[in-house]
Amino acid sequence: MRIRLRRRPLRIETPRFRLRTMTRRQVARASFHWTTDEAVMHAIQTKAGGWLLRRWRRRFPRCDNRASFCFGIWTRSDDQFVGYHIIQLQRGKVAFIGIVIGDTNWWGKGAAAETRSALVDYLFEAKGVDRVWGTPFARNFPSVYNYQRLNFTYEGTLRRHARSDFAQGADVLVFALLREEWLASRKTLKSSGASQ
Amino acid sequence: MSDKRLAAVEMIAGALGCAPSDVPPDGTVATVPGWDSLGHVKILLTLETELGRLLTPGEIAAIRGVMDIDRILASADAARETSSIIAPPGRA
Repeated sequence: MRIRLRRRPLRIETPRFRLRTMTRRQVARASFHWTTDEAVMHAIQTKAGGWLLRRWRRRFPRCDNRASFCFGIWTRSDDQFVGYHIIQLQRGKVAFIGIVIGDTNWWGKGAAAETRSALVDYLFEAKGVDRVWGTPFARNFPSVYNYQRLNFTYEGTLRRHARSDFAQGADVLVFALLREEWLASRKTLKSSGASQ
Repeated sequence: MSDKRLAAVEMIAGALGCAPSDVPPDGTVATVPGWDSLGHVKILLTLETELGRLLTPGEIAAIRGVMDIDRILASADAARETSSIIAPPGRA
């Protein structure tokens, strides 16, 4: 018999948001309405429209809250679901991260920086990670901005590395942050408002 | 402040819809008011229009402040000058 370990959701709070772990099914359902939004889908190099919930769900990793996490983002003021972070813990104390802010009302308002800042804290402090990295699409300027805003270091470009519905493979940038870099920059970031 | 630095400041101010005096020459994504993720999109698209080409992934990753844009504008100018020197007469 296969026993499934059910883990209690993890919760993190920031000044404006609540983050809570979700299952793959939950995040797929909560975000499914974004699949018809051209702007959101274009940002992740995917065509809008024509999605089935089952197919959409397959895009998400199975989240066991041990090595693989999906943190949903809700506003504290009115409990609106605005996006999600995906985190995958890898060998060698490394965490791979990704984010989608699907509620376009929150674009340009620091939601990604504020919540990512809290998650990076969680990864370095609670999970004992030494390196956090992510690979935004090169043409996804807001996503690139959010890595730069938190002082991630650009490590290189992976050419035509990612699947794209609009091109023959999309270039992605590699950004990473080491524990000591985070500790050194955290104070500055807090005073400049990136982590609110 | 060099002319190009001034051009970078004016370009950023134009993209963000603020006064050039609000954009310090050593300003960065963390310090220039209004330089948020959407402002970043406006700045990079304006820069691409100015250059007449798409930014390379390396350039996109390198833009963290006014000085980085200044550098890209300066190297684009240098490239233009070089091509006008080596182009045959009448085709510059």
